[in-house]
Amino acid sequence: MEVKQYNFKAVDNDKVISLLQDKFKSVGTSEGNFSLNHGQIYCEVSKETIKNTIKMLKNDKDLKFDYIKCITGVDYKEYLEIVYSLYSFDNNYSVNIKVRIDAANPDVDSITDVFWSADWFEREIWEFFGINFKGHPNLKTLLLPGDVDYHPLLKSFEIKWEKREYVRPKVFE
Amino acid sequence: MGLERKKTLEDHLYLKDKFGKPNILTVSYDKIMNAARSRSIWYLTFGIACCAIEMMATGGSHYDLDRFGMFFRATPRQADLIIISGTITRKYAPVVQRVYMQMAEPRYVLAMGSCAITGGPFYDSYNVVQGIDKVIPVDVYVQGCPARPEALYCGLLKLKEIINRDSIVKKPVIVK
Repeated sequence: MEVKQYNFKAVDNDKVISLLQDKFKSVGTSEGNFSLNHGQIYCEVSKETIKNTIKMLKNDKDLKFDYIKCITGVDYKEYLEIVYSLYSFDNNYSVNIKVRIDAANPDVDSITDVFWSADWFEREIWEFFGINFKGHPNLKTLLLPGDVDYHPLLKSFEIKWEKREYVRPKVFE
Repeated sequence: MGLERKKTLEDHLYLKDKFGKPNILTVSYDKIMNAARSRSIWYLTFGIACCAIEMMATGGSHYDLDRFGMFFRATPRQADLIIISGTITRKYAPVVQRVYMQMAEPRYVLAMGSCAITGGPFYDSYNVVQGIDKVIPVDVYVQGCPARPEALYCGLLKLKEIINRDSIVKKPVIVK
């Protein structure tokens, strides 16, 4: 049996950043603010181009970011942010894409067409931050009970005492 | 050494004589039923959080609940007792209620640890029920975070006392 040999750290930060800058131009994304934090690349892209960007990062032959590690929602009070953490098995490299989202009108394109595994990440962000993912096939609550009308991880969230009281459903009696 | 009287052959013959004959036991129905029931509390295989680890330790070979006639049962139909061993979230509470409703009466509930009693450290959370007694009626509360196996023992022996107080004459009170 032939075992595939991986070239660990086949690329370095500078190479990835220069590659990304080139590739971003091809999909119409602005160059983005690249930054290094704890040895990881972060870059900001605009909300409109996020789906094309992720699709390009996955399908591009040089980059091959073929695995989505995590999608994280962040609340900065003035605006919301989503961080897509992508990983390339072939290059042993990861990149984090940030998208800034308006807090008053939070919505963004779903990337479930590109990464099927983004389904639950997006559902979780939707229920905890209230960010609407346009084009998501199954946008319903994942961890919270189905009847909630609040988003607990927002900074502005403050629950009323009546909401905390558990009301026993009568369906089993 | 030497304090115990050595059993002679006559002693053994006496015992054999006693149990060899057909014998009659005269006792009230409550007493014999409660004696049987309190010595065979079968509890549900139902672990929720870190208290469940202590519950498993209690059921395991070191603490050995089997010697009290208590066993894990994998189905609520055969279980007498449900040990609530962990935090009850709002999403999980209807599930617990459903499992409880599937158990045959008489059924008992033991709330183990501070989460099951009041919500514990997650009391102020948006998604945690403040105690399992908001969902189903509780017989015994065992405190601790998590409760030690010794504490669980104490609770189970208290439950044994509760069962021994039961009677078939009185109609059992069903809390709704």
